[in-house]
Amino acid sequence: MTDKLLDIAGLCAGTEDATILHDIDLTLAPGTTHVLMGPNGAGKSTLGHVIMGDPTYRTSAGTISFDGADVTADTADKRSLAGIFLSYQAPVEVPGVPLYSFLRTIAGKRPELKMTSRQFRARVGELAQQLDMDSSYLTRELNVGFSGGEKKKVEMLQLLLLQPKLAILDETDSGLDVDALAVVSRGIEAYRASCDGTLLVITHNTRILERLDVDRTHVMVKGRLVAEGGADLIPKIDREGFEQFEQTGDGDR
Amino acid sequence: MATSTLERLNTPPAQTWNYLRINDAVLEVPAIANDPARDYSASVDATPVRPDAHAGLEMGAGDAATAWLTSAATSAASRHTVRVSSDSPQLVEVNLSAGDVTETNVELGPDAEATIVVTASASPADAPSTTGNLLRITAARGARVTLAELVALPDSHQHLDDVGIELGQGASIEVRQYVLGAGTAVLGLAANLAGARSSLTLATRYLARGRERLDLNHVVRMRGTDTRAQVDESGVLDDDAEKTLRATIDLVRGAKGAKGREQETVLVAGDGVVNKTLPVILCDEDDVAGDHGATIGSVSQDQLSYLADRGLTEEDATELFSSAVIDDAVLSAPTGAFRDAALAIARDLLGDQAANDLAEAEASFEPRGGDAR
Ligand SMILES: Nc1ncnc2c1ncn2[C@@H]1O[C@H](COP(=O)(O)OP(=O)(O)OP(=O)(O)O)[C@@H](O)[C@H]1O
Ligand SMILES: [Mg+2]
Repeated sequence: MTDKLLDIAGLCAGTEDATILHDIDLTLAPGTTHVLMGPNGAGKSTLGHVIMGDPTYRTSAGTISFDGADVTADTADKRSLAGIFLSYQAPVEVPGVPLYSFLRTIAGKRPELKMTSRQFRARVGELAQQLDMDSSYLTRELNVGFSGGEKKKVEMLQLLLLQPKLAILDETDSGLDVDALAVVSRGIEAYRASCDGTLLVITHNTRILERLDVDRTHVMVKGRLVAEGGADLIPKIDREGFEQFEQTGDGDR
Repeated sequence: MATSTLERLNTPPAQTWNYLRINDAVLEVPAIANDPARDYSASVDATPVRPDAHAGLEMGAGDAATAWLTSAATSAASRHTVRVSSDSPQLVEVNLSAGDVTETNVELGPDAEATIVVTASASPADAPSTTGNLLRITAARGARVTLAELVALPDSHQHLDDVGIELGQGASIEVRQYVLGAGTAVLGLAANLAGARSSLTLATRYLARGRERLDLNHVVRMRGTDTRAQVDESGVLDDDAEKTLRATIDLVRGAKGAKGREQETVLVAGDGVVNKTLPVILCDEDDVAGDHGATIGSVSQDQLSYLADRGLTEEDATELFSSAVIDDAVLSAPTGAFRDAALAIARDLLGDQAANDLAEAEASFEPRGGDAR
């Protein structure tokens, strides 16, 4: 076993026209919790999608290694099966596909999750309850007509079902009311506890972090990781904002 | 067996250049002799139809279809008028087996509520046949209707579906149609949103494979002010399947504030597929909004990316979309007959194991919008 679950070195990525991420180095050890903060448009979501292998973005330099293997050239579906999970900031609606069918299919792709259909139904029923979702949601079309909060819960349901080695949570807390926020925070805690998962939490809101032991905090400004610190960096950002880092962001271009 | 040919079925209000070969459908059906009437058991109290009571109602599949269905549904047992009043919501169940043809009129009084469920199914052992459903729905002020239809036939059978709907002020209807199998299925639906603020949602889901032929005609006349229509057709075409869809939203002069939207999504999975679509927005009024959107060919890139991020290849995604049409019919089944007919298709196409799993899931998780059973 390696002490680096995710190892990003010298990563530059962006669209066909423009580079969004510049020279990113980031290492996550197994079982640790990392927080990624930064102003709007800094590139946080883009980094999440690039780690996941989203074909919208092109990687022009650097490497991404996961669980000891170079995955830079792997497609998203391969990375997913290898154990990377990205919870979307804006989950996609998929008309015509019942949530139940979707969950059965994504679980069915993973030999490590082998269970009978009875076990599967019990498991998703239990998870729905844990997330305070009525089980009738399982017969509805994936995310179609779901509220913002409900969509985030569906992301959490998948996280808890799949138990990936690495979970990147992109603003999973945004748009949630206090009750839903508590449910989701407990879900994240349950994920950590159940499989000693590794977390990269992208957020603007420190409330979601209250229940988590944060190991490292990273700050991204204008596509660069400009600062890194312990959990104590979070209250500092909360007080003083990102201005303190913006100079650095411009500096080493 | 003597047959006759029904022509000019499913004609849209606006005709187009004929070279598109999209203007109408043709269906060969059994000739109507003076056969002894078929037996058909209805689950509701009903009285026979008054002749010509519905002459003014526009029907989706057109005159030839209406005439044939009317003459084929000869026995008193296959023709019904159901009147629903606000004090007792009704379930109207029409279960068609091989060769059954029925005529059903549902008349809802003010603020009445009804759920209408039409299921067409047959066994592969049955001799080839045509099932037919003629359905007229008139909903008075404030009435609410749910209509669920399932065509789940082996490809040795064909189905003709002819629906006409009229909505009074503030009345609403929610229609879900599933076409999971039939050698040829011709379905026409016309809705007249006559009353102010009346509304229609129509969702058609289909799966066609082999040499199956599906012909759909949707006509929504928006006459009342502030009326709403949302029409959504989506499905999967595999092998050499052929689909024709005509969808018309007619924003009639005077329908101020009306909003109509039609959206089609087709997933083409087979090399021999023929997919034709004629979307039309007719607009004779300024203060309205009409909109047509289409995604044809494959799953959208956003959806593919989302599914890929959860471990599915494009091929997995296509498979999921096909089986999901069947899953969705089972999981949202409003009646036992509907569920069993959808499960028969699941057994045939997805296998016993998958069908059993689905049956169990349907039993464990409450279907959306409650269960009519
Ligand atoms: N597919 C794309 N095409 C063009 N530009 C893009 C694309 N994706 C991201 N960008 C641009 O890259 C920059 C970073 O966007 P990103 O969504 O990663 O920011 P973010 O840090 O997640 O912001 P927020 O906190 O608002 O969610 C933005 O300027 C954005 O417009
Ligand atoms: Mg973002």
